[in-house]
Amino acid sequence: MMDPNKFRHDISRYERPNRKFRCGRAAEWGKPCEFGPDNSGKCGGIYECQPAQVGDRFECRRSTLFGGPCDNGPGSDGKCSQHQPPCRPRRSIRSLRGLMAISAFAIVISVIALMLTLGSDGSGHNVISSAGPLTDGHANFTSSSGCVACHEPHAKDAGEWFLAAFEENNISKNCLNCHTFVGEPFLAHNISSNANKTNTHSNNFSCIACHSEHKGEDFDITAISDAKCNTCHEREISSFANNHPNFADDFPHDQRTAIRFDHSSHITQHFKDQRLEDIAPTNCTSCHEVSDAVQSVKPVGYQTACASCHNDAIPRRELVLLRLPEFDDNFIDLDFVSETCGPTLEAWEEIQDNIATVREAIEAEELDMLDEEILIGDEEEYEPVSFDEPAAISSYLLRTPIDDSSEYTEPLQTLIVGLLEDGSEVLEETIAEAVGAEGAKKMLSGLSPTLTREVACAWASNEEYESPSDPNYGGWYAEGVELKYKPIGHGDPVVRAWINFGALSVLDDDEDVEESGEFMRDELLNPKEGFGACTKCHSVSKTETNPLHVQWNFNNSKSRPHTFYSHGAHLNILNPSGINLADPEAGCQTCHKLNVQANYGASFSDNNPHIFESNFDSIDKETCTQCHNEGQVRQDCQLCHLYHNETGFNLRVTNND
Amino acid sequence: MNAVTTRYIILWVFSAAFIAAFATYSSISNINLGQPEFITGYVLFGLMLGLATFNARKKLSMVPFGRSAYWLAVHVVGGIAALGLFFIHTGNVWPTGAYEQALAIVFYLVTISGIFGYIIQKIYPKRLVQTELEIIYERIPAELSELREKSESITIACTENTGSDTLARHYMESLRWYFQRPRFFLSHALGGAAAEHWINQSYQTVSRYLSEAEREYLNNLNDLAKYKSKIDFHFACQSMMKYWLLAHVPLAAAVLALIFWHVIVVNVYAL
Repeated sequence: MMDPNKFRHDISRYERPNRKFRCGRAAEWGKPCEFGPDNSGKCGGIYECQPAQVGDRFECRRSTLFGGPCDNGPGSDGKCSQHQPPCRPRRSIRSLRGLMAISAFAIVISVIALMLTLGSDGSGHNVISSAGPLTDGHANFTSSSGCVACHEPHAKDAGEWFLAAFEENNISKNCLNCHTFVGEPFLAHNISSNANKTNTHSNNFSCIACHSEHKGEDFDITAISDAKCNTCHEREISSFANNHPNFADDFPHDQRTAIRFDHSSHITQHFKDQRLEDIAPTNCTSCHEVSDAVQSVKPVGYQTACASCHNDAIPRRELVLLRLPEFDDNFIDLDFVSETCGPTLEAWEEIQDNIATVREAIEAEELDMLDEEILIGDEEEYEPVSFDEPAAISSYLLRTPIDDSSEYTEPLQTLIVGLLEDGSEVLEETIAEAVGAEGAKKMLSGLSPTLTREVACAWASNEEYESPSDPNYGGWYAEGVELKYKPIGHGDPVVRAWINFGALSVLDDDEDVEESGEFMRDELLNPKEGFGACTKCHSVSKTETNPLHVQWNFNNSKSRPHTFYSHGAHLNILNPSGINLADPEAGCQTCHKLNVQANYGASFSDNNPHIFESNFDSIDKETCTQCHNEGQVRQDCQLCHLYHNETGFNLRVTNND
Repeated sequence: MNAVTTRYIILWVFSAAFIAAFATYSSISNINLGQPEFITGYVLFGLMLGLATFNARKKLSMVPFGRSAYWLAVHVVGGIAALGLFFIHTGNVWPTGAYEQALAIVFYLVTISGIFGYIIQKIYPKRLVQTELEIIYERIPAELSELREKSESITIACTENTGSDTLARHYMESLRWYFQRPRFFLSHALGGAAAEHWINQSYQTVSRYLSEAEREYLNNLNDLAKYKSKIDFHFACQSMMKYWLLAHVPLAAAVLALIFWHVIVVNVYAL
């Protein structure tokens, strides 16, 4: 135990640890002096005491701790006679700590200031401002414009940059510079009707509420937890197997197919026909392409799947563009026709006969005996060569009634004269007035001006046109009183253009014209006649924007834009019965079971795409929960549901601009 | 249960509730598509500033801001709470940005140094009491100086009175080094016995060469050496208890500086 008297005030120094400096001698483990350093860090122990003046004399004041008053005493100038070399005082720990703290603060600020000035391209600034590497997808797109691609203040000068700290940032609007969505980008699920929902988020979503950037290259920026989905959805779903609602009764066949293909009749009747044994498909994959199956398993296409049975019927489906109808009268200038076209064979033979008759009369000097008809010409009454009605197309284009010859005679004859003068040009101009020049060109593609003029010559002469050859290979041709088009094969663009024209033809302010268009449309889309046979397979839909729309291509269902299913992901697994889903015989039937009772054809009668009865039974939730269940396969929301509605990129991004 | 324990229990419970509340808030806000980082960030910033005021409290000891022991308890528990809030704020242990990584490193160093300081403040005082010696840290140099003088006096007296310089030579070759300044710092700090071993070995090495008269002087020197060993132990422990702050306080200042820029950047770019 240390002697408690050892540090009595009169025999020990008084320590002041709060001072900035401490004695240098003590720091070197020597005996510290009595006074210690001053506040400026100078040694205070050069002299052993500070003599005191008593009267006119100075007295030694060395403390007893250092031996008491010395023998020599102070000099006459009052200075202590006992002196020693000064020490080098050291900072106290307390002072050192304060100094280091200030230095650390200053160093950090200095490094930040230095970084702000480093790099002419602001690379130093970027380093201390970046919250981390961007994800792979964003890293490249923002490389050209840098941080300012998303953070507008980054490009501002120092003052404005700092002031931006007090302004609201809207990073999400910059996302739309590259990303596109069908619908409102900041409404829940991009659905406009969500604007009126009471949920606080539904009408003002920001992208960063769900998508966090600067989390590294491999961060999954699109991953959303199920809990976040449950935030907005009134029905909270703990897991798919547990309490996800059952699928709709018609799931997933709630939208009519683009191609009308009756699986029932084909599978149960046609494919079993002995005559088709060699060409009939044997299983699902004969017609459906599974190698790139995702949401849909696309059919392999007409040529592979359908042509062997249906190709022969296509060329027989012809279009009648013009028909020479029964005219009340003939207003066509026959002299002009004769001058332009030359005489017809019949007229030429008559002229030859008349010349012979006149010659004989001259030789017999019996000119007065000649018929007046021969000398001044025949004025026989007009008798039309055709007793048909005009074609529905010409009636619509000329805005004339199809059954009133007094109305259509003159316009149609004018058209014939026009054809005679300008070939197919006048026809193209007439059609262009309805559908535009580009459409008219498509619709009359391949129509020869010579053919048009020859037909017009014959009809203007009130004669039937005699085709020099048969149209074996399809295309435009004329026969008798009709100018027609014979389809070249499946996918003929002329046929498609005319049917599209017909589907849109009822839009007109004039009721008569609209009626005429409707008549033409019914003819063009009539599945039993002409081009309309296309609509036996290509479904016709009535939409809000178009009166009718023919679906030429297979397309994915858009009735559930927020649901996703990958056929491809399921193809290499076994169903609960142990059958590989890729098995063409039985695998598909795990989910797709044929419903032979369904009235599939009726779905297409009203042109309503929303009324549909599929050839297949609906798929119920239990089909999925056989595998997607607790402890088995994933069943989180994002596995099957997409938040956004048809995401895409704008042109700037796709051009990598 | 003493008052200190009760005080800490209350603070730990309060701190746990604080962290649990913010963890819950952060989770709920995150699920509700909110951005809890901003709230937790500012709360963490405020907490850090609050922790920093402990240093100011020590400098203003004359102002009645409450007992320093209370402040220490709040500082310790608040520091651990800050670590929890830091994890809640960042959402992970290691951020991705270079600047945030620097901030995290310094923050962790501050926390680690604080925990280290707290641990040694708990362990060393008890061990110092066990030496049965009390000495003010600032007086250690003077005490060592005095011991050195005494040891040299004993050695000189031995030579003068016995006429043998064996002990004097031993002193010059070995003990002089020992009495010159504090020795075996690391061993003392870690609770080792290197000093005792060294003293015993030194004693035994020379003892057999000494006469009975000389051995008496050696025994006196040995007592002084053992006494110095206790002072050295005090020096090592008290130095540790003072010098850890040389890391903790400057690092804390650096964290605050880093946070200032972080707050500005977040407001400019993200808010």
